[in-house]
Amino acid sequence: MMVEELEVVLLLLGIFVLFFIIANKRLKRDLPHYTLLVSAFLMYLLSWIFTNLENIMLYELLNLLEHTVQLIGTVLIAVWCWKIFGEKEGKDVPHSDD
Amino acid sequence: MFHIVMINLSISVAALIAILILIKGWSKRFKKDTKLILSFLLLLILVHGILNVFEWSGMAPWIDQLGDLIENLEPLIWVFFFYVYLKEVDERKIKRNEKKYRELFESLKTGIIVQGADGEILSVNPAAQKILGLDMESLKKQSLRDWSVVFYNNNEEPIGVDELQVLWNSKEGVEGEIIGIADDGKRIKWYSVNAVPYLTEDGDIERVITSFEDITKTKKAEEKKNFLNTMIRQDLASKFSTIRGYMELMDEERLSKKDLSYLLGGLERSREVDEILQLATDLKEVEEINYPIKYDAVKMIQHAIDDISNIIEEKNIKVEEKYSDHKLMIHVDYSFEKLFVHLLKTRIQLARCDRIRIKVEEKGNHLCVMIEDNGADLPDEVKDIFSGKMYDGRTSGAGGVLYYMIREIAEHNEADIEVKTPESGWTRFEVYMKRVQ
Repeated sequence: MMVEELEVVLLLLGIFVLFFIIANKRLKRDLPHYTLLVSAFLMYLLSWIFTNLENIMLYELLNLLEHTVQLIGTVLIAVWCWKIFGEKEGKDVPHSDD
Repeated sequence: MFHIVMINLSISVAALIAILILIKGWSKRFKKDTKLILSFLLLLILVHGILNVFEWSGMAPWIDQLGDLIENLEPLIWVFFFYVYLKEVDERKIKRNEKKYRELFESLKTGIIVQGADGEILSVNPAAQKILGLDMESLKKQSLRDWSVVFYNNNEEPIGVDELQVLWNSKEGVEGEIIGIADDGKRIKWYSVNAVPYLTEDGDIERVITSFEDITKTKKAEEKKNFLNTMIRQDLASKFSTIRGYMELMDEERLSKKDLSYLLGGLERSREVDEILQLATDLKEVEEINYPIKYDAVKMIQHAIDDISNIIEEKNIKVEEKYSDHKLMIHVDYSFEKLFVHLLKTRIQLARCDRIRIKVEEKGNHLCVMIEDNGADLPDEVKDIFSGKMYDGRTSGAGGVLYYMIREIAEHNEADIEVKTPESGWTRFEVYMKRVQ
């Protein structure tokens, strides 16, 4: 039961992050490769939905889907990192101030 | 279960790759704070993936709860990352704007001084340093009182810094105040000074931004114009009187009819010169006066008609007037009456009209005085004078000069003149002025 409560909290926190992204429309303009990183987050959000749903129905399928979308999300983050930190510096990406 | 283990292993590998990419390109992008949060998020994903491998492979099923706790941190780190990144963008924008405005501030040819509430100097751009002949460090140490430069008012009388301070540090601000600055005490350079005060919520002065725009060339040009104006007027007036005197000495009876017509022609032209000289004198007077007060527009027009009543009678001009019953007030200099005097005189004498209609109408916030006559239509180049085009006096002869001066009187009083040709074929001048209560 403890685990289920944590999963509900996880989902609520995820929805809060989604609202934060929607509310801050300028992220779309200011964050380089915005679509890639937000897609990665949406994959995670989807996995948090599946993790809650698996307790109610289709446990095995939803569990598999939960981990699969997490994998897709992580790959998308890795690609985003490559585009930002791996590729040659582009015009649209802010430079480090360090 | 094997699939889940493999997927989580892949998640951990992907997260590890992302961390390695981030470390490799650490110096490239973003601020350190943003990168640290991103690293932490990737680390959580990596650890969560490894814990899931242990859990689903059956090596450590008890680890499930720890994995869930770590997973619960992920959305918090996501939102924190976005938040810190947005802050970074804001900071970058502020820095960029600061740089842009600093460059603008530094490159302006207009001198700018930012002063605090007590007159202490907070910031000075290079142009102001040059104007005041001091470097930034000495300016910072000193208040305006310590400057070695000599200040002059518009009448070229030396003034004290205290007088300037009172002016600049007023809550109303200053616009277009002309002051002279001589750093060596000899050569005066002239500046148009604007001071904009910024007030606190309590209405006290927080800081004052004062700008100095070099108008020495304009001032010199004005001086030259005044000199030429005075010289030409005085010279022409004296020569004109002499010519007129000689002409009047001529015995009309001894002149032949042909010579008499030449003499009358000469007298007529000299009268036109007299008109121009009179208008030039009036214009100079108009330019020097700037004390607008409220006037009854109708009374002003009637007074102008009275002024030229001798010409009206002599030329037998029929003047029709139509005015409103109530008072129509305008805010102008008393010299504004000269506009109507010279416009009517010019139309009678130059356009040779014999009928004039004068009407005053209210048009919104403005008052329109319509002066319509049956005299000769205006040439296009003269009409252009009233459409705001630059007039150099090369074309259109004496008429052009007279209409130009009339326009100048109107502009001095913030009035507009439009020239129209109504269906009747007459020439109509519409003089627009701002109405006041």
